[in-house]
Amino acid sequence: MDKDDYRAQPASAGPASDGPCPDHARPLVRNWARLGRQLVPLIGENGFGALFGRSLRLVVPAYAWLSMDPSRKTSATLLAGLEADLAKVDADSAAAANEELTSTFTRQLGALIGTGLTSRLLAESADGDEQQQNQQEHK
Amino acid sequence: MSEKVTLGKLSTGVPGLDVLLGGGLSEFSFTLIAGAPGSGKTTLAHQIMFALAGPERRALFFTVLGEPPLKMLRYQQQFSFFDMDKVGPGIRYVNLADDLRAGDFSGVLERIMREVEDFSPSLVFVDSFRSVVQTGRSGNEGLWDLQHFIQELGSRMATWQATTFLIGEYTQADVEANPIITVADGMIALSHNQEHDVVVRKVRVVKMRGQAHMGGSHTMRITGDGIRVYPRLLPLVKAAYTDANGDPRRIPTGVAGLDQMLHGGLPLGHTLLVSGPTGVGKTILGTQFLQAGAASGEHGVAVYFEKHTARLHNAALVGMIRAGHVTVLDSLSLSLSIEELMDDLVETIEATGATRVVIDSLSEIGLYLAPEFRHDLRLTVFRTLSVLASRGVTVLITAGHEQSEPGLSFSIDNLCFLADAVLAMRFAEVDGRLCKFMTMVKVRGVAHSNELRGYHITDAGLEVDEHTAPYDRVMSGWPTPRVLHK
Repeated sequence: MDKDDYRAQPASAGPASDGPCPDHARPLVRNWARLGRQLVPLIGENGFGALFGRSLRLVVPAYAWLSMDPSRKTSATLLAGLEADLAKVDADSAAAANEELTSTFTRQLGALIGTGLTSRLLAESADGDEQQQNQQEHK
Repeated sequence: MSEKVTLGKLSTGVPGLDVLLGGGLSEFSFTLIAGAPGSGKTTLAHQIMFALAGPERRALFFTVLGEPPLKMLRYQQQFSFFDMDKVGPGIRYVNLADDLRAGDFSGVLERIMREVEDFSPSLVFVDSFRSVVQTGRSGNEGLWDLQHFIQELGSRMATWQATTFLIGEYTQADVEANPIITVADGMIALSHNQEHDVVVRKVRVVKMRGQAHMGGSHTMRITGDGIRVYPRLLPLVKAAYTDANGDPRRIPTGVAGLDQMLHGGLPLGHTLLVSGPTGVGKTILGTQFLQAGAASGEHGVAVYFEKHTARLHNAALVGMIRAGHVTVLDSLSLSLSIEELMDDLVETIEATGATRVVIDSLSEIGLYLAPEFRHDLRLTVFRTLSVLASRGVTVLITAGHEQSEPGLSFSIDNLCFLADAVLAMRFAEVDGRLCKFMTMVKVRGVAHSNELRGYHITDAGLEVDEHTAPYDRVMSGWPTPRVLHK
């Protein structure tokens, strides 16, 4: 596979006509935050940032409204930028772009450390999140 | 009953390493794994971690500024010991790079402690520790900080009952390593020794508190299964000095006349050295030895260092290989270590159940060996034959020997002393022809003929004359017809 085969296919998404809608963006970014909590301790802020930046670059041709800002270095600033971008478009476009970004990120991670270990780490991150949610519900 | 504390021993899972360590690693010990880049430190740490870790004995692996964690995971997965199921519940990786930016050891220590308290590991690894050190202050203040940090880390990990490993690019000459070496309970040093163009990997247990470890450097190899260490020890021979056997079972050599000279065949488990100049029939005898085994359902292993054996398409040999009676080990490496050779031999013997081995020939083996093994060919052959003897296989080895100085010399480097039996094959000029003769020089533990017999190489192989050669001074190369005194 060519290293750029992860690049997303062009899609007809665009800015929502009725302005920013932050409510649909937050749950999407929450998944990224969970992924970051799992991966940053393992690969560091730099590692996470590099993978996220590369994924974003591959997806941007299809979703031109996603912004790339080299000054965003930490997982927190990267995800804040993503949330702001997703909030600017309608919910369907945001979900489609986010799904593409997530699968690109996962494929890239899989190409580096193998799909087996990637699935294991992502499943662990989902378990950890569920546990955290259950703990909060019991409080 | 002794009230002394008993040191629990952990088996490292690295073949051969526990022997060097004096039985394994002490539980709760603090060990430095040191060596140059590429010497196998991270691989050794991973192999130990995957052997020991599980849900009941969790492991924390801290990565610092050395090999990027993504790459480390990518490459370490290639080893067979990397068990994916252990990653997560049994093994957790933590990256300390962000904590180190401040260059503050106490911040790093606190982060390590937070992770330790959260995961309760029994094993802790910090890779690479040198990068931790290099972020510290320079000069004496830095050294003091480091010493304090190491002591704190060592005592806190011991209190948490965690066996700890620091991995770093150190040699004993490194000044900054001194505080670490002083505080550490153990130090395992890895190196790769280069001689000419050949590199041989070595491992040395520099110190290991509380247990008698083996000193000195020992060869190690890295294969797809990870690291394997070869302690410089001979294998045990079963029932040595306890069982006497005055009449061992004899097995056919494949040459009837030779069996007659051996009073019924070669004693089972013996090593027969066949010595003689080029063209005298040593390789043919080796093939016949394998054929005799194949005829009685035995499997044979042949190691050929003479390339003409492969080139000349020995039909008898090819037939045995095709029929599955013989496995050939054909080394292409020109930097072979004795350990590699022994591994291949033992693995093939175990896999095939072989009872006969042919090594052809010791005169060419030196061309294949790495310099350190070539320099001491006698030790190399001694170790190989000791391993084969401990397996109980019967061995035929050939040794080319120039006949420029005819006489009673049977091999280079006194190799004939290492064999249980020696067959000398010689040319001698008789009536304008170059004729062949053989004699059994020795066979340990049993009686044998001391005759010199003529033999011929025919399409059927070696054919030995039925009677003693009618010449004197055959071994000199210039025989004279024997005068019978009435």
